[in-house]
Amino acid sequence: MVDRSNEQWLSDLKSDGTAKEDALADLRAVISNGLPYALSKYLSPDNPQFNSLTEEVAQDTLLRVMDHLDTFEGRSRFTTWVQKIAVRIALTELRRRRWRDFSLDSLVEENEDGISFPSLMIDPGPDPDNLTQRSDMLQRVARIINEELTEKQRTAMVATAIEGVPLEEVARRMNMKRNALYKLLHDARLRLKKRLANENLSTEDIWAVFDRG
Amino acid sequence: MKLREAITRLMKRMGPEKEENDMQQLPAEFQKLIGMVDKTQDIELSCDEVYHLLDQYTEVVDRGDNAQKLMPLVEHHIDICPDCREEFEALLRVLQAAPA
Repeated sequence: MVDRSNEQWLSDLKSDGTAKEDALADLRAVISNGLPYALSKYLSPDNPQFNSLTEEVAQDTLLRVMDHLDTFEGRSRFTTWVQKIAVRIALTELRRRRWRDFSLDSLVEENEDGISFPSLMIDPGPDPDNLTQRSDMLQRVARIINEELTEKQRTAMVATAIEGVPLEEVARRMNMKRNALYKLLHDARLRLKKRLANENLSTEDIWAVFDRG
Repeated sequence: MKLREAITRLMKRMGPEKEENDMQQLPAEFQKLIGMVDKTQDIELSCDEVYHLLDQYTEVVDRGDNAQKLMPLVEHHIDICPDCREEFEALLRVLQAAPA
């Protein structure tokens, strides 16, 4: 593979003929060599889905790179910029597959009248009397969440922070972009932070109740 | 015993890939939620803004430079946003596997 500078990559990919073909082949190899590492936490190369996924990702990445060549600003190596695009495409597809059967409907129903934290889940520790304090604290925080957040914010927060669903997948089900969902969650977190401050309730106060055995 | 079973069933409403041993799950998730609220800043970068800078940021981390000092807003977003953090970690694995 030819060792190219950023300028050479751009020049070759914008050219015609064999220089472009060679650069595309080299770029495909760069992507394919990187994907096993990018996906190592999620998908083994032995998995039957691996080859088809990486081929699909490499192809989609090349198309996107060629469509957006002019947006490369040279803030990083060109190949890092390309790998970033490949990672986004690959993880988006993996999230879509993994959470294919997940529905927000049940969460919306469960939290329609407000979030609640089942206090029975708390480990009472050696001092059972402390269970009441812990339960009261959970209920207090739940009340603050219910009073401050809209139903949409509550659903998004429960799905992402409590259920662990990727923002990408929650956003898809809410018919919004991931960026917009992040902003919605940021606004929700800000509201909760200000309300906790107004009630003179610090996170240390909250943890103190749970830390006491 | 019936109560424990009811609680276990309740916890199984949680998403796919969850472990069977979920009895301690809620306090941990509750802690995570409060932790995220605590870290919230008035001004935060969005996912799109972080994606724009992710290649540069990941190279900074890969070089061992002080990312917290050089790109604090990106670092903060990655600490808060699980999707962007996953993408950063995946890209970092790629760079570390194939050094420049």
